[in-house]
Amino acid sequence: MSTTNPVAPDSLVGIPRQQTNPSRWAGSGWSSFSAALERAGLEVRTGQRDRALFLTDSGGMAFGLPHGTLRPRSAEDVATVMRAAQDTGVPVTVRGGGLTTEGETVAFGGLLLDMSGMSSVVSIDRDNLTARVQGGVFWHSFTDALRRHGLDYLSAPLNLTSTVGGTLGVGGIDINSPRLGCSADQCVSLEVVTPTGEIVECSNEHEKELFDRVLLGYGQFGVITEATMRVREFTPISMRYVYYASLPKAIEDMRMLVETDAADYCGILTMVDRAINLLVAFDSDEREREFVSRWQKRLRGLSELSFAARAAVYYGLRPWRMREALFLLNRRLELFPDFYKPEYMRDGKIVDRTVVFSRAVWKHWGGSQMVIPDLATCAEKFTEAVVRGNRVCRKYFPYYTLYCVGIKLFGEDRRYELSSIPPDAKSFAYGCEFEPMLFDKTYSRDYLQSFKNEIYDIGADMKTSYYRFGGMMKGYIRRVFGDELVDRHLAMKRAADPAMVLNPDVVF
Amino acid sequence: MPVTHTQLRLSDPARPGYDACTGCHVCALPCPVWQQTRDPRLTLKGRARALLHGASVLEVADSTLACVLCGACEAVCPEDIDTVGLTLGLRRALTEIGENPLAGLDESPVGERNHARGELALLPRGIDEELRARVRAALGAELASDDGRDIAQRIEAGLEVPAERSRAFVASLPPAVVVADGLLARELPRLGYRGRIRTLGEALLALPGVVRALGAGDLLVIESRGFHADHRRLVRFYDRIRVERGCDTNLDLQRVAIATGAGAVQAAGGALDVGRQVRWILEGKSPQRVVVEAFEDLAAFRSHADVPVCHLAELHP
Repeated sequence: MSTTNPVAPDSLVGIPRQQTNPSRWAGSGWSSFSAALERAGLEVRTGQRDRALFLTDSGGMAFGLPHGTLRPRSAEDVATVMRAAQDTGVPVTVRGGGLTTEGETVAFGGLLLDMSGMSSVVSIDRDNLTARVQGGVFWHSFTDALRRHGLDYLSAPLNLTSTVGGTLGVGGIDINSPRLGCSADQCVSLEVVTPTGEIVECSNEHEKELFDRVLLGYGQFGVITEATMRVREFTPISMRYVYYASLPKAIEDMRMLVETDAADYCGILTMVDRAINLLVAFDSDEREREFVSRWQKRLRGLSELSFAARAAVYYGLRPWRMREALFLLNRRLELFPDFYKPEYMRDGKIVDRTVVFSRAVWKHWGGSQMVIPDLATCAEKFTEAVVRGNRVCRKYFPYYTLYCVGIKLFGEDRRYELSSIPPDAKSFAYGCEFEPMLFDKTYSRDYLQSFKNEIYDIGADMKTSYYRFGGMMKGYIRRVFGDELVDRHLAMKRAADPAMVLNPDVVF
Repeated sequence: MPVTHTQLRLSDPARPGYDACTGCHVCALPCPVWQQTRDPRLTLKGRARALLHGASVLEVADSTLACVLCGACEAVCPEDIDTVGLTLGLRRALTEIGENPLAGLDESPVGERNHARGELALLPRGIDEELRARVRAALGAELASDDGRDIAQRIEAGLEVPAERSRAFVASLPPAVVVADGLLARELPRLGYRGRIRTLGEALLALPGVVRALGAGDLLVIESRGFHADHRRLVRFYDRIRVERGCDTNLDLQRVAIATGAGAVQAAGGALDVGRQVRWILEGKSPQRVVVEAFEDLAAFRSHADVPVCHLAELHP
């Protein structure tokens, strides 16, 4: 394993650093590849403006230009691209919303396949509560179409601009994942274009091997062109907050709620180390009443009023921490009203949570660089992983947010192998994102990368997994999963993608 | 010589410019052009990112000219970028280099100077006389003889508005106006007008008789430009009406108004399929009646919806 050209100083003894940014593809075969596509009637755009649109991803840390871009309109278009890519060896990077953070959807040369052209809701089956969508559809567009029929998706990332195809490729975590699992678990069937250009319909009943490889497969085994997703009746949600001054206590309580199915939605959002917010939400009054009568009293957190009183005493006795107190107050005044805008409230309940949360995410945590390293662990390792990650955050940044959530697992499905679901997780996995508040301060790329690496090193040390483990951090994959598993998947990848052209350098 | 972003001050200097664009794509979600083309280059994000990466004004001309200026992107931008101002600035820059095809449009004639002292309604003079009379009766306001339409057209097309003309127009306005043209409502403060501005929809919906006439079977089609120009305030105004009357609206999940694009200066050129927008607004909805605020939307909905269509002013008893 090469250890040349390190990107940051070592932060964990014994784990050598390595350069993981892929080098730019040299361009051999591009001319015959693009000529083949144009002969097939596909437009390859090579202008500076077309390519620059995809220069980086949401992470804003990896930059690369493709040789050209293409917007397919059908599975047949994608199949034509993949066949030509196999023949010529031209790498193909598939992009939906581009919401990766480690450069997974940045093309370092080759073709960028912009899936946003395939973004229709194909059909909605109200009787069977399923919907068929194209792979490039944004969750927002999907939700908008569903709402017109009184329906909603089950679980999806709290982001309007993720695509369904992109999400299914990595998992997709929501605050209802403790009940419903990840987005990939809501998928009934897929239309996939394989790396060699075959169009295959797959599901648990048909072509299961491909189905399991593509779901949570980081785009290694096919391009998702259509998906049938489970949907449900739309319900507004009611939300409650419980406040903690201790992170381990909040995590333990969240685990208790997750593992007893006490709430429909559950997650932790920290503001500062001493102000931790456990949020719970409900689809029905019945579930909320049950929570209040059975579970609420078992929580060790405080109501907002009690917490505010204690915080006032705490900071009153520690005037040197006044800046933190002001930050907290400001956060409370700025952030919370965005969850309760009157136009999104009906009878005390939040309507269109997908929009409310997503808009808040972009407004309060968005920026040109999204620095969100994460750890995904089994239940037993979770508290330690979060506490260690929190310590790293404190070392690098004055303010940061941790977002923790549980993820229900559905059996021992093979789709969880080499994915964000850690191998040692049983029944539930847990994830935590560590997000520094960058505000307008400029940090060097190296500084941010060092921070991320130090979080990822915790995962390597504890043998956890990550929501995102591709792209620039692919070097962690072997450390975390071990050679046997990675080599087995590499062999499968080589068999499925002989020229190794689909989403190169994301995992392999 | 290509004109690049470094040579231009395109939008309101008091607000973030396109260089604040993070590429989040939230602006594209409600964009009518995106809805129809799914081409990211033709969205505000497409323009901003291209400029950031060194594209010239001419290189993004197709995108600049495709925009219908509905302003939905401005209402949803997490960075609060002056998105409409940016597109207007790009159009002006195209004019400067002699590459703006909108520069040759037919301009509305300038009307007689306004002399009203009470609230004045700026309605386009070309609309049906009976409808004008209804608006006048409903609002109890005088109708402007100089409606400022030529100014709005020039702004929309990216042409300079002669300073003398805008000064004279603003000076002729009383302290309160009702403006039917959403773009004019947005631009009046920038032209120096300091009085109270209400959109036509807001003014009509302030009348109890009009509001009472709305019901559960109605789809209220909000005029997008004026609505988005004052979105933070108006979104709550319309939400109250929706809750109170049980009517539906053309607001999407982000609470921005889906535009038909029928009023855009280039609509006649077919840049946007208005019928497709109407069908999208109606998808999954079964209104018994469509009530529109924008005069242009009357024809758009009458052509593509098979339910009765009326103007909001016609609800006034």
